Amino acid sequence: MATPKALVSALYDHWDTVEWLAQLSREMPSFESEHIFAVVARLAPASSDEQRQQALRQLCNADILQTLARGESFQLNPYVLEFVRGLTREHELGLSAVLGSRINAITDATRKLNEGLHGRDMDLLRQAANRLAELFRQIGQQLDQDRHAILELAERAKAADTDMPIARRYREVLEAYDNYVAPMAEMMDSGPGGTFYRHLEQAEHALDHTVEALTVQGALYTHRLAMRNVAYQAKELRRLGREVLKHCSDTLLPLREEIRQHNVLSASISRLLGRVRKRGLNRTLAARDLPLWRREMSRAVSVGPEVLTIMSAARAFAPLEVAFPEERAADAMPALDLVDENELIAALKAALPVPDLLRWLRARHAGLNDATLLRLYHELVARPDWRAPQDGAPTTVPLNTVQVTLYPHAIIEA
Amino acid sequence: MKPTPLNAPIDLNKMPRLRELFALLNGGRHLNRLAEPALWAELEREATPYETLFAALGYELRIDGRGYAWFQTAEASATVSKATRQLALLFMLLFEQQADAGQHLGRFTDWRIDRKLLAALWDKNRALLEAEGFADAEPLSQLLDTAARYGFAEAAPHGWRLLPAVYRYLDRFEELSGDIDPALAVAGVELAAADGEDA
Repeated sequence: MATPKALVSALYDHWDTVEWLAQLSREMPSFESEHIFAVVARLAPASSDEQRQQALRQLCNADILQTLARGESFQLNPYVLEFVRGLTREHELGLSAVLGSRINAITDATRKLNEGLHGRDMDLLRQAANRLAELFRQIGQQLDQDRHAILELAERAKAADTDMPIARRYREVLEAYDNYVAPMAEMMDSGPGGTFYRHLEQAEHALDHTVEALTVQGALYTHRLAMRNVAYQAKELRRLGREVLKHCSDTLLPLREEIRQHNVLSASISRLLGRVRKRGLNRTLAARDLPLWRREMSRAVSVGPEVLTIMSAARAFAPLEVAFPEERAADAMPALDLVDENELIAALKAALPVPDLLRWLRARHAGLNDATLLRLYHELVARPDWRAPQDGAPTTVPLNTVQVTLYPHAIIEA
Repeated sequence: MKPTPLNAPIDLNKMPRLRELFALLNGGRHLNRLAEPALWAELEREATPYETLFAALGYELRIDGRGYAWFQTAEASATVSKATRQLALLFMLLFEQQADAGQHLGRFTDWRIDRKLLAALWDKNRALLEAEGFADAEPLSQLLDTAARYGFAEAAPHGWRLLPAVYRYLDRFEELSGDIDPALAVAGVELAAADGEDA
């Protein structure tokens, strides 16, 4: 068996081929090597025989194609087929019975959840919640797949040859309606007969109750969060169920009731729309295949009356006198302090010893900004010309706008 | 020698609305008999001189007997390419919807398209439209305004109605569905052929 990485890498290299084979496997359960060569040749018409054989070898080595037990035929690896169908929206309609038994399994898991809650068995509680989450995920996935399968069925019926008798054209649709949509509608009936909403509601209640109980017990936040997420899933699933059922019946009813207009045009449109649904608009329709028309952008530029207004305004332009805000700005800014530092140092040297440098500075330069004064103070203390021992007792010096509490430096000769 | 219509002299006096017609077609609009009967009557009366005149100017005038005319081009601007793709989707969804409702598809010019119809359309094709970037029904009505700008629809009381130029799309849909969905049909034929060779 090939490694998952090798398989994914080969899937990337040969995606187009695999996509085609996945579509073909709807009609043919197994392929001969000639079929695979034909598909490769169609996708790459220039490829040589050897290249085609190599492609087949690579697909087999990567386990994308598997050889059937008795014979030389190939079939797509079921996992790959499932994956490719999921990505290209080519689902087969599931069985409503499968959906039904999954919905019934919800009851069982809900019972376990309640048991776990009553017996305070955290393990059982977690298991039951995980089981519910897994069931919700499976049911949600199946509902979504079935919706696409039903759209596909309807598209096939709508796109069928116009000459085909109605009974044959709509055979699949009628079967799908009777075997799938009708039982599903019964299941989703909100009355006593319906199981879907009833079971989901029970599960939702049990989960909500568990969240509450866990909150009261003071359980771990992560446990409560996990439980609450499962409860949200249940609510989301109810919405999805309702939406899918409505979508399916809306799609099939016009066919079943034979209201729909069926002619070459509606058949063509259905076929194209089916393609758009699976591959997107841009990959389905190229602009060159669609109606085009010439659209010249007018390149003439003319001057409108607005421009004349602007021009006359420009000619009569007189600059507005604006009072500059400089003076006020100057007020707001701190005045620059000019200090002759050489003269200051000389004066300090002459005045030595000074018992409190800050008071001395303050007395000498009362007009200076506080910031400048403190800068000078620090600079003078740090100078090597003298020693600056610090007093042990704090003192408070009022400055212009602030007052400073400090252990004052004295300045004495070195 | 009797002059053929093609090389007959063009009498501009017989084309009093030439300027209006040119402006309309050159702006990317389709001329519809239903929407502009007077212009259409003049174009129909003087079809050959108009075609000759526009051809001499480098424009290819196409007139369809079902009642619409346009300037054809093989290469479209990015705006037109995007518009034509989105309009194709809109028309496909509209026709699909109306077919489901049992409406006669050939009489599409009689349909009244209102916001209610568009809301139902969006609701029904929600997944597809969301994948194509239509977040709600509002862009659909904007798209119908675009259709009206190019002459595929016109505003009517409480909505829009389609114009015969939509036949251009309908023709293409039938052709395209034949050749772009070969996946099963063609492969089936080829494989059958391969089987035949084996045997």
